[in-house]
This record gives sequence, structure tokens and C-alpha cells, in this order.
Amino acid sequence: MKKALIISATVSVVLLGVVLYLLIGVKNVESAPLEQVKQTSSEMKPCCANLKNDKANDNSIYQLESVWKTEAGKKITLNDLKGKKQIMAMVFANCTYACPLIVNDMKKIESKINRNDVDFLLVSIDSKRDTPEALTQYAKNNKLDLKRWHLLTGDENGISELAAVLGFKYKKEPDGSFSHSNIINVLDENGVVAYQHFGLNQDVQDVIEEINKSKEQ
Amino acid sequence: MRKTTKNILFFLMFSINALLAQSDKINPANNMMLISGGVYTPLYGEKNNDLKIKVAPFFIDKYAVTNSQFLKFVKENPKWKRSNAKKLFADENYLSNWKSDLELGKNVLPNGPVTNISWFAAKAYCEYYKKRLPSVAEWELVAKASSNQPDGSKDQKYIKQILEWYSRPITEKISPVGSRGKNYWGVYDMHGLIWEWTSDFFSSLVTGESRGDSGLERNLFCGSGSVNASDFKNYPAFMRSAFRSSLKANYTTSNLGFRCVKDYKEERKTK
Repeated sequence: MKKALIISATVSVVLLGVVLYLLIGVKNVESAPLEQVKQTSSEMKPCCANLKNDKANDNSIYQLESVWKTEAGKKITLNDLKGKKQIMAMVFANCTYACPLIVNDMKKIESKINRNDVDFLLVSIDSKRDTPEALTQYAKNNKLDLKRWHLLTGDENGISELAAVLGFKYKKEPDGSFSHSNIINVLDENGVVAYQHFGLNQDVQDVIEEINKSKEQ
Repeated sequence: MRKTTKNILFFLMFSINALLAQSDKINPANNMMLISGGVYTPLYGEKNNDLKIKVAPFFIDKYAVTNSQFLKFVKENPKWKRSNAKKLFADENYLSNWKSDLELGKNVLPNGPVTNISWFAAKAYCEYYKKRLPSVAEWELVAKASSNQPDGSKDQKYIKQILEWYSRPITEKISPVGSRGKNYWGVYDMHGLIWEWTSDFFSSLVTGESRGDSGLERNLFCGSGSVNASDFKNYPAFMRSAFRSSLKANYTTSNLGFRCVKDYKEERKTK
């Protein structure tokens, strides 16, 4: 009986400790991330105010508020891409098989489209390894014209949200590479997905036709 | 001596209760159960079948999020009202089982699990309370526990129970949370009440995308892919995997809800 009491007393003390820990812990966690979020959303306000009255833009992926870095290290939100059509794919630089093929397909499209209102966008799914420097190197290796091509790297949350809205599936493998969907997206001027091209090494004429549906702006 | 110990004990119990009551207000992490972690074996091993994912300890909501809890969230976050939600984030059936923006109505129970919820809405809810959605690995780790053991996936009776639920159509109002019993971890309704969102539902690559170099058929759900699967007998797990792979982030359906988790580490490191 006495033993039992001592044990339960000890357990209580430990519990008390844990509870205190939780209380103190939670208070501290709150401050930092919250401020960041607030800042971002106030930055985003002009965008969302404009979008509000426009039903068509309810589908714009530029509503995502995540912050990205370009290959030049510049911080942007997706809404900064507004104004031009984007031919866009999610890839990672260390990818040895699928991504080079996707980029190759995108370059094929680039060679067949001669208009200034279309840009090319690669978004990395490898937030750990694809730093702006790594992306710059990647662009160099693949001879991408950085006037027309943009490369973005972001955090895991931003990547998962973007993947989620595009229906892009991916999974990190134990060796650090990724299994992923192969999709080339056509985004209109407002960031609405106008067309998706699935698969690798297929005729890209469908993408070109999609773009040529509209006149150059 | 004995009396003193008793007194101390009572005092301690009292203060713990008081503190817990207070932590309810500050910390929505109340009503969460600690899962001591473990190993999750994904259904489809990509590069070898022995692949195991180590899951670190975490807290998980004892119950799925209820209609009344979600209503409170919507009141505090008007952006997530039914009439305000953007299509990108929630399709037209978002909260369609509620009477109006801020009224539950007769079709749902206040203490029933909230459904007709998109991934973005579920995610926003968890983040508002400083939590997050569970990963597939975390969810499955908790879900494989039967009522008396942490791994019931080899228990055919348990598997059969789950399958029976999967084959039963939902005809009436969804029951209150807690009505399907608790498992080994003290977590309720992991099976038998609703389907639940996971943070990385998009990692269920069962339609041939997993390896672009291996042709479309290799990982098809019913085809050669299942030959590669790690657990032939666990049909419910196959069904969940197939269900997840069919989801999109703005989808909402009448039997899909969610619960949240929280890192154990995050709770501890912030001293």
C-alpha cells in the first residue's frame, strides 16, 4: 500500500512536470511563426483583393501564399508571376531520368513557340538540395535561357500545397530521390491551370495548340 | 507518514487537474494521445519490399474533429465559411451538409465528425491550433492497432471487422465521435466512422507514376503493382491507399473528415 502511494506520488510529480513543460512550450512556439504568417498575408492583400470579385480566378493557383526563392535568390510569391502564361513543371535537379525528359519536352515547346507572353517555370520538389545556387547551376547545365525560364525553390509546405492543387503526386524515396508524376502544366495569365500534359516523351503538339488558342498579348 | 503522503498526493492530483483545465484553453493539444512511434511499412515498396519508415513519437487527436469544433473555427476564420471558400481550396460540396454558413442544422450532429471538408480546410484547421495533419505513415501506424495490440494487421478477425465497415454504405446521419471504440493507443474511431485526410495523401502513387521508367502497368492497383506489395492480406490498407490516390486537395465528400497531430519533439524542445 505504502509502496503504491509512493509510486503514484512519483508519477504525479512527473506528470506535473510534463504539464508545465507543455504549457511553457506552447507559449513559446506561438510567437515566431505567427508573425511570419501575418506578414505574408498582409503582403498578399493587394492580390487577393483584386481576385475577390473575379470568379474565374477562384481557381488561380496564385492564391497560394507560400514564399519561394528564384534561382537568383530573390524572394517571390507565385502571384508575382501574374501577367504571362507559364509552361510549368515540378522537378528536382538531381533527377536522372524523368526530369531531364520533361525539361527536354519543355525546350521542344520553347523552340516551337515564338511569342513573348509565354515563360517557362520549373519548381523544385527538393527543398533540401535545390538551393538557388544549385538551380542556377542546373539552368546552366541545361542551357536554359534565364530571360524566359524561371526556377523556384521553396519549403516543404509550399511544395506540398502546390503539388496538391496541381494533382501532382510525389513521394520521397529512401535514397533521397523522388517518385513523382510527370506533368507539364499550362498556366494562364492569372495562374489558372488551362491545360495539363501527362507523361514523358510524348508529342507536345497538344501543349503548343493550347497556347496558340489565344493570341499573343 | 502515510497520511502526509496521501495529502501530498491529493494536492498534486488537484493541481494537475487545475493545470490541465487551464491547458485546455491555451493548448488545444488536450484530448490528444501520445503515440510512442514505431515502424510503418508502406504498402508499395518502390525499390525494395523491405522498406520501412521510422515514425517518431507524436500526439494524435483522440477523436476526429467534430462539427461543433469546426464551426468554432469557421467563426474565428470567416475565410473558411462555406460561402467564402475559394474553389481552389474547397469544391462546391464544402460543408454542404450544414444548414448555412454558421448553422449546423438537422443533417449533422454537433458531436459528429465534420465531413465535406477539403484537404486545405482540414490543414488550415490544424494549423490554426498549432497542429498539423498526420502523414500517411503516422495515420496508418495508429490505425493498425487493434483494441488490445499495437499491430493488429496480422489479426484476420480485426481486418475482417474493418472490411465489413468498408462494405457498409452510410445511410443515416454519421454517429458521434467516440462511438466506434478505442484502440490500443486510446485513440477512437480509426475505423468504422469516417475516412480521414492525411498530409501527404498525394504520395499514394498507385496509378503508374511511381517510376516513370517502368511503364504504366507496373504499379496499377489491381495489376502487377500488387505483386510488389508488402502485405497481401491487408485489403483495407489497399482500399485506403486507392482511396487516397483518387483524392484531390479541394475534394470534399460526405464521409471524409480528419483529425490532427502534433510533433512530440516540438512540444519538448521549446523550453
